[in-house]
Amino acid sequence: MAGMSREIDIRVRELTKHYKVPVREGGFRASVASLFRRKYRIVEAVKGVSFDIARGEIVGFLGPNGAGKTTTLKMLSGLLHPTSGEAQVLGHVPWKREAGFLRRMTLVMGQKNQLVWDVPAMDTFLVNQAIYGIPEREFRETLAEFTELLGLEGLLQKPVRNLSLGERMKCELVAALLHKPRILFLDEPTLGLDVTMQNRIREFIRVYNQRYGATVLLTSHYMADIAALCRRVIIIHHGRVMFDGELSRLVGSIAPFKVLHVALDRAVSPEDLDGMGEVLALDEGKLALKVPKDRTPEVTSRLLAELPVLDLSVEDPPIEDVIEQVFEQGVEV
Amino acid sequence: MRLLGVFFKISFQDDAAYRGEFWMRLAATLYSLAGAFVGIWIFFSHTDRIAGWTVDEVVILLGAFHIVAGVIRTVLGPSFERIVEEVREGTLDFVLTKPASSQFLVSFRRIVSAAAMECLMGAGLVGYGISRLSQQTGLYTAFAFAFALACGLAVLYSFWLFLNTLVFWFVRIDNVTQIFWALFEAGRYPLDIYPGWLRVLVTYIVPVGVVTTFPAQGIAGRLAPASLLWYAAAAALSLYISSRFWRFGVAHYTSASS
Amino acid sequence: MIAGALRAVAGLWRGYKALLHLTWSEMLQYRAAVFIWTLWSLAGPIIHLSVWSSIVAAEGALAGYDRGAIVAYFVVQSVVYHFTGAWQVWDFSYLIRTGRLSARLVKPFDPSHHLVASNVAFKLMNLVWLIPIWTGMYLYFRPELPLGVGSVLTFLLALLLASVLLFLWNQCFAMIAFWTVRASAFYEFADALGYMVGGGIAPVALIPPALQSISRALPYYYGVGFPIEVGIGALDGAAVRAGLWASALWIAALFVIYRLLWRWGLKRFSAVGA
Repeated sequence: MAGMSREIDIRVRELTKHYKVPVREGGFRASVASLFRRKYRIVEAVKGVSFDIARGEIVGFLGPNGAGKTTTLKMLSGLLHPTSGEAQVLGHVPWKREAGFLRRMTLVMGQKNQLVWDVPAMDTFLVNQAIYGIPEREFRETLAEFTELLGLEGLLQKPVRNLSLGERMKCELVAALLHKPRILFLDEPTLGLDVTMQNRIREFIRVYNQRYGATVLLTSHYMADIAALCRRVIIIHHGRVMFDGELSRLVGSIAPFKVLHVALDRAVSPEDLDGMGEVLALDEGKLALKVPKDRTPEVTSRLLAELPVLDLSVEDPPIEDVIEQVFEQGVEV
Repeated sequence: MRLLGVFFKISFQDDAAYRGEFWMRLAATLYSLAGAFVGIWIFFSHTDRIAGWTVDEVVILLGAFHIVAGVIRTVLGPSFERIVEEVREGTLDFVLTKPASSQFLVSFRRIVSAAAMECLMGAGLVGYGISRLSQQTGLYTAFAFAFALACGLAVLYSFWLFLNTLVFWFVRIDNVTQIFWALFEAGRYPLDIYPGWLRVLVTYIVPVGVVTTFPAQGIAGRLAPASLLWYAAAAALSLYISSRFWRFGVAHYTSASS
Repeated sequence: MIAGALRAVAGLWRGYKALLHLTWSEMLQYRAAVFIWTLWSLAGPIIHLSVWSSIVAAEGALAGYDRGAIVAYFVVQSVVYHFTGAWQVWDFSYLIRTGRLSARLVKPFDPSHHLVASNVAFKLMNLVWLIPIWTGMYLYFRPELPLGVGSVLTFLLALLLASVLLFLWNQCFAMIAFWTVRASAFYEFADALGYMVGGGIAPVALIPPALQSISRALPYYYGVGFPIEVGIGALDGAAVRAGLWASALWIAALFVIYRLLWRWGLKRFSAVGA
C-alpha cells in the first residue's frame, strides 16, 4: 500500500500501562484504617499495544469505554508515563515532554477545556499565541482561516460561558490548533454535539489534515465521524489491539453480509420472504433484509422474480453495527 | 415548624453519609475555638479590661458571636446560597409555586446540620464565661441575654432576607453576603472599641455588631429593661419591613418574568 | 548561548503579558466580587487596630508600641496583606480536579507561570481602588510613617521578599493537591496559626514568649510582621539587614522544596493520571 512507504510519525511498541488503585472499603473504621495501610489492586489499562502511524494519516482509535483509548492518548501526548514499552512521536519520547515535541502536537480532550470560562475565547487565543510564539501575521491569517472554516464569525468576542456547547468545542479546537501542530490527538471531539455541529467539526478536521499534512489519531463514539474521516482504524479492547487495518476490510471481514433495501408495489407478508434472510424491517411496502454476502446475488434475483419490486439497493451494514459486533463477539481479525 | 423538622432530618442524613466531612468540621471548629482563645490570651496578657470589658465578658461575647455565626452557617447561608442561581435560571418559580410561604422556604429550605456544632461551641463558651463571672447570674440577666440574642437573630435574619431580596433587581450579587461576613467579623469584640463611624455602621446600618454585644451586655447586667423593649421593637419592625420587601420583590419578579 | 537566553526571556515576557491581560479581563467580569473581596481583606487590620488602640489607651505604651505606632502598624498591615496574598492552593487543586492541569501540561510553558501571572495581575488591578482607600485611611488615621526615600525603598524590598516568600509557601501547600483533594485544609490550618504568631493579630513583640518561639519556626513573621515593622520604622539597621537575609534564606529553601514537590508530584500525576 502506498501509505506504508511514507515517513512514520508515531511509532508505538508494546506500550503498557498499569494503574495502582487503592481499594476502598465501606465503613468508617475501614476508611480510617486505609489512611495507614492501603490495599491496592493493579488495573491493567493498556497491555502491550503496538502500531505505526504514517505522516498525514487520520486513524480512528476505537473501543468501548475503559478499553484504554484515553490512557494511550495520554501516554502519546506525554501526560502519562507508561509502565513499560516504547513510543516515539516525531522522533521524541512523549513523556520526556520536550519543548520541541510539545510545540508540534496538540491534545484535545472533549469537554476538559483550556478556554477560560468568563472571558471571550479570543483572550485564550492570545495567550496561546504568546506561549507558542506565533508571529502576529501568521496568527491573524490562521485565525481568519479557522474562523471561516468553522463559521465562528462574531463569536470570538463573546464570553465563553455564553456560547453553546458546539460553539465552545469549535473554539476549543481553534485554541488547540493555532500553532499548527503536526500531530493531533483528538479524544471525542464531537461528544454531545448535534449532527450539524458534528459535520462541521468533522469537515474542519479533514481540511486541516489535507492542508497541513497533519497526522491525526482520533477517538469517537460516533461511527459517522470514523466513517467520514478515517480510512484506517485501530480497535482496542481490554487494553489490547484487536484490529488494525482499513475500515473497509474490517467491514468486509467482520460483517460478511449485506443489507438489501427494497421498495415494493404492494404490501407483502413475512411468509413471502421465507428463506431469503433476516427481516430487519417490513413496513408499508418498504423492506430491509440482512443477507449473507455470498447469497446476495441469489436472493436479489429471487426478490426480483417473486415480488413486485419497484426499487432495490444493496448496502453495507451500518458501521456502528459492525463495531458493536467486534466488541460483543471479540472477533480476532 | 414540621417542615423545619423535615429539612433538618434530610440534612442530617446527608451529612451522616459523609462522616469524613463531619470530623473535618469538628476539627476545624475546635481549631477556631483554640484560635479565639489564643487571641483573648494575647490581648489580656497586657490588660485586664478592654474598653471596660473583662476577659469573662469578652468570652461570653465570643460565645454569642459563634452561636450567631453557627445559626447563619447552618440555616441561612445554605438556604439563600441558591437563590441567585435560581433567579438567573428561572427555577425560582418552583419555589414560588409551592403551597408554603415562599419567604419561609427560601430562608430555611436547606440545613447543614454539621455547622450547628459552632452553635454548641458558642453555647459552651457562654457557659464557661458565666461560670467564671464574679457576680451571680440572676434570672433577669439570663433572660436579658436570651432575649437580646433572639432579637439580634431576628434583626440579622431580616437583614439577610433584605440583602437577598435585592437579587430580583440585581442578578449578579453572588458575593453580597461576603460584605456581611466582613462586617460581622467586627462582632467578635465589644462595639465600644471601634471608632465612631464604624460603630454607627455596624449598629444601625448593617446591624451585625449589636447581635453579639447586646446579649453579652445583658448577661453582664448592663442592659436596662427599657433597652430590651427598644430592642424588641426594632426586631419586630425589621422583620416586618424585610418581609414586606420580600413580597414586593416577588411581585416584581413574577410580573417581570411572565 | 546569550541569544538563546534572550529568546527565552522574551518568550516568558510575551507569555506573562498575555496572561496578565487574560486575568484582567476575567477580573473585570467579576469586578463587584473582587471589590468586595478586597474590602473584606481590610476587616482584620481595622478590627485589630481598634482592639489594640483601646488597650494601649488604657495601659500606655506596650513594648514600645504607643497609640501612634499601633495605628501605623495596622495601616501598613493592610498594605502588606494585600501584596503578600496568595491563593494558588485553591486554584491548583481545582486545576487538577477539572483536568485543566493536563491541558496546560501539554503546552511548552510551565503551568506555574499561570499561577504567578494571575497573582500579580490580581494585586496590580486591585490597586485601582486600594490606592484611594489607603489614602483615605492614611488621612483618617494619620499614622506616623518614615517617608524618606531610603526607608521607603527598604520597605519595598522587604515587601517584595515577603510576597515572594508567602507565594512560595502557598505554592508548597498547593503541591499537596497532587496527593489529596484536601490540600487547602492543611494550608488553612497553618495560615490560622501564622495569623496568630506572625504579626497578624498583634505585633510579634506583643505576643507571649511561648508564641514568639513558635513564630521563629515558621516563615510567617518574614511574610507579615517583618515588612510591617520595616515600614513603620520599628527596626534598627542591623535588625533590618538580618531580617532581609533571613527572608532570602526562607525564599531559597521554599523554592527548593517547591521544585522538589513539583517534580515528585508530577511524577505521581503521570503515573496515576487525573
